Amino acid sequence: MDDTVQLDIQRFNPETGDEPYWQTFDVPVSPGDPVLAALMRVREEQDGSLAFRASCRSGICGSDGMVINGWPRLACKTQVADARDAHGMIRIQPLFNLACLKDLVVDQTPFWDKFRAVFPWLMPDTYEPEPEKERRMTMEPDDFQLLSKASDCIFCQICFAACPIVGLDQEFLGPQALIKAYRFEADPRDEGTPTRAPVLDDPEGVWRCRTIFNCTEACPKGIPITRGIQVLKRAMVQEELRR
Amino acid sequence: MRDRGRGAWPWLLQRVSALALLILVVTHLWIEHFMHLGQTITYHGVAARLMHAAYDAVDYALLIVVVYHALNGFRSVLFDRIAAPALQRLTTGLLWLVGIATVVLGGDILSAFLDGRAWFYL
Repeated sequence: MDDTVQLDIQRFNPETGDEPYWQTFDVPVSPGDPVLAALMRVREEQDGSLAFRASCRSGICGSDGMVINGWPRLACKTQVADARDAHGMIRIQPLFNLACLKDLVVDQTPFWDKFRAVFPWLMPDTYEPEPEKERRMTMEPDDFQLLSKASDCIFCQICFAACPIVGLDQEFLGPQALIKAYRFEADPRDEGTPTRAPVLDDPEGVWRCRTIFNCTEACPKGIPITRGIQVLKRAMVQEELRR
Repeated sequence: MRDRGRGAWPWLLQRVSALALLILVVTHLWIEHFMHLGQTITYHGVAARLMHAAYDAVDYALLIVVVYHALNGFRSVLFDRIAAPALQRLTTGLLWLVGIATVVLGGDILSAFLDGRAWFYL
């Protein structure tokens, strides 16, 4: 280990009932270490009670979303060298807009409820005759390009935590549910618009988005979430005009 | 289904009114500043122009569109803080009243030039 970083971590233990508090750990780090490596070192060497979610350590599973220096990020994709301030300190909090269960672990229930609410699966045309041999639902490359970025979502909840409207209004579907809805609405094989429209074309659906772009900026997979929501708004206007 | 369509129309009309606003503002500025470039602006000259319905139509349209666009945008801002549907309906109603009153007041001022007398005597 060549260096030391100070991790200032917001702690919360529901069993004691105490208010959240800040605890600082001095952690030895090597060049190239992500924040997640430093957190794991704290848990292994200094305080085994520190709670956080992590799994793949490669920016694929989306488990280790947390607020690092005031902005939601993946701990495994955030380099210690980039995150540390002039005093060698990094401040870490649980994700915004979700209730804290313990330390950096949040209650994901509202996030998943909203995700399920948009019917996030492919709904083929039920009137289409079933093929006799094999059903191959292929797509043209151009059609796939429309939804390929949206299908990269890793459910990390970072967009949800970065959205100030979610913080203001817990009823809002939020950016992740909307970009998943877009992923299927943009799919030419999907016929689920009449099912999804009542949820999307609602004051708490696409119309609650104020195009603040925090979700797009925060997304670790670079998904143009706000653009997808704007496309959904236009689609909902077309639905409204057809009604 | 909770409130189907309640968001689509304000969103669409905000964009339509923005486009109309752009066209009307450019037209208005061209009439006011470039159509008679170099001539001295006098009260009588302006009054004579406002006797033509075509010029007044631009000003009336601009008045209606700018009031709608401003109040619809303000409604969006207010709805970030007003969550209860009943209060939202009340807010929308009040903003309609403000909008109609503003348009009537503006229309009254222009009508004196167009018709020789104020339409509403406000």
